[in-house]
Amino acid sequence: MKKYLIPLAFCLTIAVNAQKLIHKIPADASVVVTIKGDNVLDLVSLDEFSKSKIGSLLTKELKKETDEKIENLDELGFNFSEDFHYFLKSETGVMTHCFLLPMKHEKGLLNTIPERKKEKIQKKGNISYIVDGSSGPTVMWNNQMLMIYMSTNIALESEYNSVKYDYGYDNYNLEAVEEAVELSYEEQQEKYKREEEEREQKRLEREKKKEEQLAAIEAKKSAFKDEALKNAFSTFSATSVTHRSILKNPNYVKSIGKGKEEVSVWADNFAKLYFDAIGGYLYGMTGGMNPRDIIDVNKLYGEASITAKLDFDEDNATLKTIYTLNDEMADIYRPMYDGKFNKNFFKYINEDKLLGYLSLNMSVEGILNAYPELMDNVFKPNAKESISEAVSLGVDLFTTLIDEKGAAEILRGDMILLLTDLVQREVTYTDYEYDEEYNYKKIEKTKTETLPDFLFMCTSNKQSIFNKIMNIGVREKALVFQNGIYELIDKPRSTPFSLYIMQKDDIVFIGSSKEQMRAMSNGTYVPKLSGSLKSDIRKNASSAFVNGKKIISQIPAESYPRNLRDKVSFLTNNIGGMTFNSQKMKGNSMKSEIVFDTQGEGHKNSLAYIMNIIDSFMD
Amino acid sequence: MLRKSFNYLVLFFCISLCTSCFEILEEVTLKPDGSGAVMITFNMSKSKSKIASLMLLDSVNGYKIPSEDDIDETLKDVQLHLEKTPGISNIKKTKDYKNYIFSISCDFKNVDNINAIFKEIIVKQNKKEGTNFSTTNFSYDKTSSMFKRHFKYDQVVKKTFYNLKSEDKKVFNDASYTCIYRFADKVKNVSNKNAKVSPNQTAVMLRTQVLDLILGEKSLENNIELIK
Repeated sequence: MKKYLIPLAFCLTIAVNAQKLIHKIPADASVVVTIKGDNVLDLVSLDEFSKSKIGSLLTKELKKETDEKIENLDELGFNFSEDFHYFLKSETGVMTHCFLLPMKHEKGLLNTIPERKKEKIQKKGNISYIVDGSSGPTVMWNNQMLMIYMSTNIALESEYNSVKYDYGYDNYNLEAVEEAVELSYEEQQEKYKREEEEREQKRLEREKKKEEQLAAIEAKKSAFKDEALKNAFSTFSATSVTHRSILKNPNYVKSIGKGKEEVSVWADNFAKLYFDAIGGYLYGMTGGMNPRDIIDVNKLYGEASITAKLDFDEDNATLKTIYTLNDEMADIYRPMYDGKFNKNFFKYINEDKLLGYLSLNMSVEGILNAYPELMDNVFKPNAKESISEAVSLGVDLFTTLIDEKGAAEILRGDMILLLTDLVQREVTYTDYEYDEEYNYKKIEKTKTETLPDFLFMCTSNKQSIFNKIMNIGVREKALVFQNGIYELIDKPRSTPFSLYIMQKDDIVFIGSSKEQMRAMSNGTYVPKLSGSLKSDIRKNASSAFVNGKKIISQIPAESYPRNLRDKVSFLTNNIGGMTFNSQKMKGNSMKSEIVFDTQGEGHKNSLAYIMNIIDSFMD
Repeated sequence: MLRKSFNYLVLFFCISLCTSCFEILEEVTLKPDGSGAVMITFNMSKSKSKIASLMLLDSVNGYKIPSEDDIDETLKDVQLHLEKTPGISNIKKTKDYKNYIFSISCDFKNVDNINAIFKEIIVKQNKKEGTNFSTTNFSYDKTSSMFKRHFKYDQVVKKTFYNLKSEDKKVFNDASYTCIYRFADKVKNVSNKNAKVSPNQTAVMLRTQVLDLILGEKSLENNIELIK
């Protein structure tokens, strides 16, 4: 019995995986995008989507385009409960884009193909396919899947264009003209005629050579097209047994894992993608400067990868990204992100009034230390262009002149911008008043505008430098000093807000609200900040928060465009907050996360929320 | 990076919350011999908070935001162009960057001189965009004492407007175009039903929304007959 178990399990695996299109993605794909149909349907069923306004519109268009052969989205024949994929494969000079879509049957697809195009359908076994034009995509399908395969040979296309549009203009021969001046008119005529004939002869030879070259390239293009079709069949028929799929790529498997996200994007080795897509030959042909000769792309982006996952759950939609650098770059970048956060900032934040913030927690000392090394690594030594020597010289001068520790005393690298209020302010404007004879005089009118109040804080330990700058500002009448607060008076004309500056607790403050600055200066400001926001701001390299609900509720309805005014109440009830956090570097990776709070009335989950919001704006 | 983010965050709110509208004022004072003075004023004072915020940026929505220097250069170019135009004299320009009001005025020997100012620009525009705008905007027939403000609508304007992003369309929401014409003689009749004649009958005012002009719903076309 046992001897039958292994073959049986093997057959079962193949049967189960027959629908898993991921096995068709080659292990060396550079970019892979996956939409997990089952996860999406769990959130919003096909029926619910079809009943939404966008779904109804789509169904209506589909019915119209197919002469009512397709009545609903299900009849399209896609297997929406399976995973949909896109992948990009790059080889030197050749880029292949491929979409893999699971099907339940081919009937729906056939109904979407116009009758005149059905004549182009070819068959190979149970596979149907259409090759669209000479460079268009190959569309291939059977009852289980639809594949759209586009392969472009950038190198060949480039070679073809350079030959086709090379008109071989001869340089004007100045020497010959000068010589011709000495000749008699008849001799000149004779010489001109002879040169004309020579030129025509050369032109004919060139044209012939060009035709031959173009024919040779066309032959190569035709062979490439045949090869691409062969590769398309190979991809279409690939199974986990016959091909080494992306699931055998350890980088992919490690990055993607077994998450419950709805959409994932993975891109590997940017440097390879760059080299394959933008080959050196492209620049060589145009005679331009090739950035590859100057910048060491491999050092910058070699082995760098990015993974993004979009996850919709009940109350939030989350986009998580992980950017991984190579060891060398990670060593350079890590100290830049190793900033210390000034806890005194929290003494001047009140969450109840907070509409949003953006914080940055970098190390200026780390940046200044890493900058020369980064420049040295980015620009290739011994490059053809002298730019690398110039950069190297610049870097040496920079290192000599800049005192990294001293600079970090002035600006440490931790800073935060807070949006603290939206206030109604009266602003004046010039209008005209006409008399009976339509003579007019300028009059000043006032109107109310909603303007933001903001506060910017950054750590600076050099009180003496701050004082010196402020004193110069006061002497030059750009600033006025009152009760420990400087007001900037020499600011751009019509700047809609006032600007106040002060320093306290090793913090430089720049704000638009005099009352707030005064309270902070007097020590009467009442701070309030939740532990989670404190942690977000303190622990991350960068953090941001936007309280959408509060912002919308504070903007007067008449400030909205007319077409949005009746939506204000809906927006206030439904728009939540947005939080962004980008962690400090851990190992070689930088992780960031954007979370959209999608709690609102009557939305069963975050995907349904997005659909409902779209629906409400389609009214 | 933070400075940029700071600018963008604050400006985002200023730009989103502050209103945007402008007024164009076209004034012509005509003497009986056909000479006179013309003044064009561009008043963006009502949007000054928004413009001041925009001018802190290099570009918005893909459009370059002109700096004060750019505007000065443009006004200088206009002045140079006017100086080269035959029959034009006494050129004056005013610029008020506090309120964003700009005007340019000049005297003309005859009404055709005003047409010559814009002719080159209109011909270029017609060639470039395939439009069919008339190069004659004003005419005056001394014998019949008829002053005409010509206005030829082209559907391309509407098409271009509809192709704009909704954010860009908003710029025209509350924009107005005012024409004021003053005469030494009394006005007998005006052809544009939206135009008003002053009680002493020596001035005509026509105020329209720019959006109405763009959509072709209203026109600046006006035949003003004067009493001989």
